[in-house]
Amino acid sequence: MTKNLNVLVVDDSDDLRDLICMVIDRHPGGWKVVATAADGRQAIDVARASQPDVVLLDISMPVMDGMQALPLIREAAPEALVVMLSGYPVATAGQGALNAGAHGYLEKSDLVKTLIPRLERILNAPSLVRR
Amino acid sequence: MTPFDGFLADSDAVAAAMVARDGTILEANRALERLLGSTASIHEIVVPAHGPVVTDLLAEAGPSWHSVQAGLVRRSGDMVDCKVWALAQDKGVLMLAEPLRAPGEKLNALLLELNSDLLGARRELAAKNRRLRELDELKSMFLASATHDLKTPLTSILGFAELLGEEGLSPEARRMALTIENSAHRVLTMINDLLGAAQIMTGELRLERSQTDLVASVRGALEAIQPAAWASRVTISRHGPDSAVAFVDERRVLQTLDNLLSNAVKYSRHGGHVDVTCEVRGPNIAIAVEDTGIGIPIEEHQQLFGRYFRASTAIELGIVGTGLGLANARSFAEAHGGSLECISEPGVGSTFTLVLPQGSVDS
Repeated sequence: MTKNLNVLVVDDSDDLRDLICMVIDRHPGGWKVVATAADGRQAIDVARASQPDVVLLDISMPVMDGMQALPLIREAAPEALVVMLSGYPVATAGQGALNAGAHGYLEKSDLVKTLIPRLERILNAPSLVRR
Repeated sequence: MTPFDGFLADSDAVAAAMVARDGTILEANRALERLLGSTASIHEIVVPAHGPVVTDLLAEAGPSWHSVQAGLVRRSGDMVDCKVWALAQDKGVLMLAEPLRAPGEKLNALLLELNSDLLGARRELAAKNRRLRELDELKSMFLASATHDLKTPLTSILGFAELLGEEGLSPEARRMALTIENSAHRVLTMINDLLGAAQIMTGELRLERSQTDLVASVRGALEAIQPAAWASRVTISRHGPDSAVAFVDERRVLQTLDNLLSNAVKYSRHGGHVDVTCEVRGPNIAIAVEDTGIGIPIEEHQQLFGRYFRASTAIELGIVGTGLGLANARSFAEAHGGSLECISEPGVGSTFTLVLPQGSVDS
């Protein structure tokens, strides 16, 4: 289990942001949500300021969506792992996100039970370069 | 006053002449002059072979119209087949010449007309097709964004209901949280059904296959249906091997299992039982979901997998549903090269059997 991760949660839905924060804060390994943002533009500034370990990035957002913000966020926080979040299934939009530089892709379903296990799987993926 | 003095004199369409009994043309109208040229006698413009018939027609002209067929020579020199009419008048004999079209010409004219009709119809069809494609695309986009927007608050409801259930609440409050979770899950299923149906209808269904342990999928689906089963006091059991791998679209299989189990619980009476059995049948894996529910009348078995169909037994009991779940499930099964069948008896129960080929990476 990966311990003591700092997470940035980016999603335009207040409720879903709250839910994700609650799920992460319950993690026994001491994961913490250090910052949140409600659109892509905000996310870039917040990422630069907080330098998180993981960014959970929603795709469809107003002002600037996740796909547009992705390269700019990676630039602002180069050490962060960026995982896209979406209402669309992996089959539809997953490959596109990976091609654009995301480290992983999660569908926003069954969050309480599966968010943490799926994130752990992405963090432990053999294709990830360890710092 | 003869007809000749009236409209015939100026007509451009009907060739007419006032003719003396000996054939001398007393008066000719514009149309005749255009068709046949200026001439002094009718005999000059009749083809020699037909001379006698026209002469007889003239001689015998009486108070009612008679006609013969004769070839008349045009100004240009070519012959035009005509029906020649004669009617006795005071001044002389009123004669009309009606050009006949040769059978071949008639056919040509008809073909030309049909052809232009066809071209017109084709243009219209192409325009309508374009419009249909536009509407289809709009519908797909609308459906995709509508379902996406609907799923967001639903995911939130489901998530918080789950978290609520884990808080230290009174049994009463926990039951309420479970009910919320249940209902939200049902709505989510209906939305997924709608999206699935839309994708199937527009041919967008694409399978993403991977080596999947179907027994693990069944276990996952059973876990998800627990709250609903608990609420309906329905017990569930599982039989079969510990694992059974097939090359399938895991997501679609889960959707199908969700649908079958959800139906089994939904249509079961309180205190009923659902049994799920996995077994390997040659090259296939069969998953049977058996319930002790209200069943489906035999005459409705054929329509059961039809889109939007809802069994009378379900409607009678006021059970909610879109009627899309089974249609989608069968489409998914058949897309894999498998099948979904049902055996049922009203008042006793139903067994739905999903058969999927194990397949291989090369298939």
